[in-house]
Amino acid sequence: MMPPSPETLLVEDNPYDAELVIHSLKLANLANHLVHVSDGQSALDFLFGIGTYEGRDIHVQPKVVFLDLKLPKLDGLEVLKRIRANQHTQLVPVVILTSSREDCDITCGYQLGANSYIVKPVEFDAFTDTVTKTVFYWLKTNVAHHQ
Amino acid sequence: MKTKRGNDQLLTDQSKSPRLQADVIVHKQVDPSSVEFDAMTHEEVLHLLQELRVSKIELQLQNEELQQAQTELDVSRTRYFELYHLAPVGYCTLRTQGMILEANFTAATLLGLPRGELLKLPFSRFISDADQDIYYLHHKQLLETGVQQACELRIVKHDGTQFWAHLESTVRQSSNNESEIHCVLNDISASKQNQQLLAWEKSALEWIVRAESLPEVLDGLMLGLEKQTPGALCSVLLLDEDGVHLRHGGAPSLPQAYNLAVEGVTIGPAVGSCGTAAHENRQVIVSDIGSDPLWARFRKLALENGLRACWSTPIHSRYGKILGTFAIYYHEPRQPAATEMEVIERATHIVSIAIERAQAEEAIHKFNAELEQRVKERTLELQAANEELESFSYSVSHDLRAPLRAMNGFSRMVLTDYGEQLDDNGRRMLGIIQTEALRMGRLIDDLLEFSRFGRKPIEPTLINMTEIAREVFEEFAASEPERKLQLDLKPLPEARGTEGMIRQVWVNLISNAIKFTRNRERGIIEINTCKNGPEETIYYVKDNGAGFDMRHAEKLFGIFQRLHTQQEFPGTGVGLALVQRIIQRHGGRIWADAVSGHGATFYFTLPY
Repeated sequence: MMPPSPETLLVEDNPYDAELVIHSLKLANLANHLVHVSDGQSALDFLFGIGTYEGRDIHVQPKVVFLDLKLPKLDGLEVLKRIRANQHTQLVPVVILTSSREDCDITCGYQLGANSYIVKPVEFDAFTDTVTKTVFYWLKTNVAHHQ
Repeated sequence: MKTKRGNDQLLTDQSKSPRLQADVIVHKQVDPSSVEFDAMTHEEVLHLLQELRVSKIELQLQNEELQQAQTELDVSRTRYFELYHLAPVGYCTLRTQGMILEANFTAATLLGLPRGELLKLPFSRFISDADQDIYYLHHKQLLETGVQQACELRIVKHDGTQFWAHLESTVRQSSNNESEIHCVLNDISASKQNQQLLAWEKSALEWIVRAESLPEVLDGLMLGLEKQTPGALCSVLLLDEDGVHLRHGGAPSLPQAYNLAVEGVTIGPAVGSCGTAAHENRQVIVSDIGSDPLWARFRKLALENGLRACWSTPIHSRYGKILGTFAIYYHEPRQPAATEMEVIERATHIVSIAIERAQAEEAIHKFNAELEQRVKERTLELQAANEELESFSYSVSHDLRAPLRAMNGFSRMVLTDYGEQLDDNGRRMLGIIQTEALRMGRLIDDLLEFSRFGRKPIEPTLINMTEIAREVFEEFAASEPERKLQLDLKPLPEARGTEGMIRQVWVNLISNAIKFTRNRERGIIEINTCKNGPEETIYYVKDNGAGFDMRHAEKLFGIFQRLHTQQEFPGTGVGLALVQRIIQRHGGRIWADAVSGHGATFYFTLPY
C-alpha cells in the first residue's frame, strides 16, 4: 500500500487542513507520492523506520517534510529537533507549515534547522497557491541531497 | 633787724589776709614770740586782735576745705578701689621680663592667690603648658612692636584648675620712666564652652548624617562630648518599643561588663539614674552612687566598675515620646554645675535628633523593603499575566485560524464542485461564509498584532520621522495607483521611540487617511508638527476625508470600535487601538479632531 518512494511527508493533525493540502496538490497533480501522518511520533516512526513503519527503508527519505507545529504527542519543534539529530534525516528539507505567526515559533523553527517557514493563509486561493508552489519547488526545482 | 622787718611787714601789709601773714610767718620762719607787742600802740594791738579773729575764722574755713578735700579723696579712693580692684576683669601690671608688679583683686581671684603672694611671681607660671607658646609669642610681639596684643589661652589657677581666658596686653611708661606691661585678663570659659558646644553640635549633626548606623552615631557623639567635658563618661540607653525596657544605645567609655549588665533593664521608680529617669520622665541627678537610695539595686555593680556619679536625663522625641536616656557618669561623686546642666540639655537635644533620624530612616528602609516586596509580587503577577496572555495568543494563533481555513476552503470547494446544483441565493450564502471567515481571520490577525505590540519591549532609538512618513505614504499610494493622492509633508523633527512600533503608528494613521479620502476627487494628506510650549512637539496627520462626528470621539481608540460601516469603509477596528497603545507605551498622548464630512486630524506626541 505504501508508495515505493515517498516524495512528500505531510505531518498535520487537523484532518481538514490535511484534506485542503491534499486537495490542492491533487489539483496540481503533485499528490501521488504523499504520505500523511497525524502526529509527531508517527512522523518520526516513518522517518526512522520504527513502530508502525518498522522495516521501511530508511535510506529512502522524502524530498520534503511539511511539518505543522502544534501536534499531539510530540510537537513540531521537537520532531524537527530529532530529525536534525538523526544521521539519516539530518539533511532532509523540512518546511514548517503552520497557522502561527508568533516570533518565538519562527525563531525556534529556524534555530532548529527548518528550511522554510510558511504561515497557512485562511483564504482558499492563497492557501492552494502557497501549498502547490512550495511543493513544486521542493519536488521539482530544488536539488535534493542524495543519501 | 630780721624781727623788725618781719614785724614791719606784718604791720605794713595790713591789706594782706591773716592767712597770708601766717604763711609769711610760717614760710619765713618768723618767731611769733619775737613780735614786740609792747612797742605797739593800743590801736595796733586792737587791730592785730581783729586780724587774729579774722584769721581764726579763715582757718576754720580752711579746715572745712581740707575736710572736704579729705572726703573727696576718700570717695575717690573707694571709686578707685571699685574700679581697679573690683573690676569684672583682672588687671595685672608686669615688668617687661614678666614678673607681676601689681594685680587687682579680680586678677588675684582668677589666678587663685592673694594679691600679696602674686607679686614677683612670673606671669607665665599661670599659663597652661599647652599654651606657653601662645603666651611667649604674645609677649614677644608686644615688646617688639609696642602695639597692644590679645590672645586666648588656658590659665592654670594656683589650685591646678584651668579656665579659658582672654589676655590683652599693652606697654606703658611708668612714672619712673620704666616700661611696664598692663594686662587685662578675662574669664571666657563660658563663651569658650558655648563655642566648643556649638562646634560639637555642628560636628555631631554632620556625624549623624554621615554615620552608617545608630550605634555608630551614638558612640561618636558620646566620644565627642567626653572630649568637651573632661572626666565624664557619656551614655545613651534606648527605650524599647514596649516602653519598659532600656537597651544599649552608645556608651563607648563605660566598662563593657557594666553595659552588658544593664542591657534590657526594666525601668522603674528606683532603677539607678536612667531606669528612674525613663520611668518618671524627669531628670535624675545622682551625685553619689555610693549613698543614693535610687542605686540600691545597682550600687555594687556601679562601684565595682568605678562609677560614683550619674546624671540621667530623659530623651524626648519632637512629639514628647520618651526615646531613651542620656547619662553622664563620673568616677568621683559630683554635682553638676550650671554650665554642665547646659551641656546636658544641649547634648540631650542632639541625641534626640540622632535617634529620631535613625528611627525615621529605619521606617523608610522598612517601607522601601515592603515596597520592593510589593513590586516583586506585582512583577510576578504581571509576569504570570503576561505568560498567560502569551500562551493565550499562542493558542489563538495556532488554533483559531484552522477552522476559518476549513470554512473558507470547504465552502469554496462546494462552490467549485457542487455550485451548479445550487441556485444563486445558495451560491451567495456560500460566498458569505467565505468572506466572513476571511474577515474573522483578519480580525484575529489584527488582534494578535495588537497583543504582540503590547508585549514587545520598548527599545527607543532616534527616528527620522520625515523619512518614515514619506516611505509609508509612498507604499500605500503605489498600491492604489488609480487614486489621486496628494501628500503635503513638512520636515518633521526626529523622535525617540521603538522604530518598528512608531512605523506602525504612521502606517495606521496614513492608511486610515488614504482609506477615508477615497470618496474625494483628490485625497489631500497633510503631515506636520505644531508646538505645545517649548517642550512638546505634536505630530499630526490631517486628511480631507469623511471625518467623523466628534460626539463619538471617545470610541475612536477602543478595540473593535468603528465609526463607519463595513460597506462605507472596511476595517477591523483595531488600527487606532493599536496606535494608541503604542503611543501610550512610549509615554505619549494621542487624540483626534474632526468634522463629519470634512476630514479628520490625528495628533500625537512622543516624549523626546
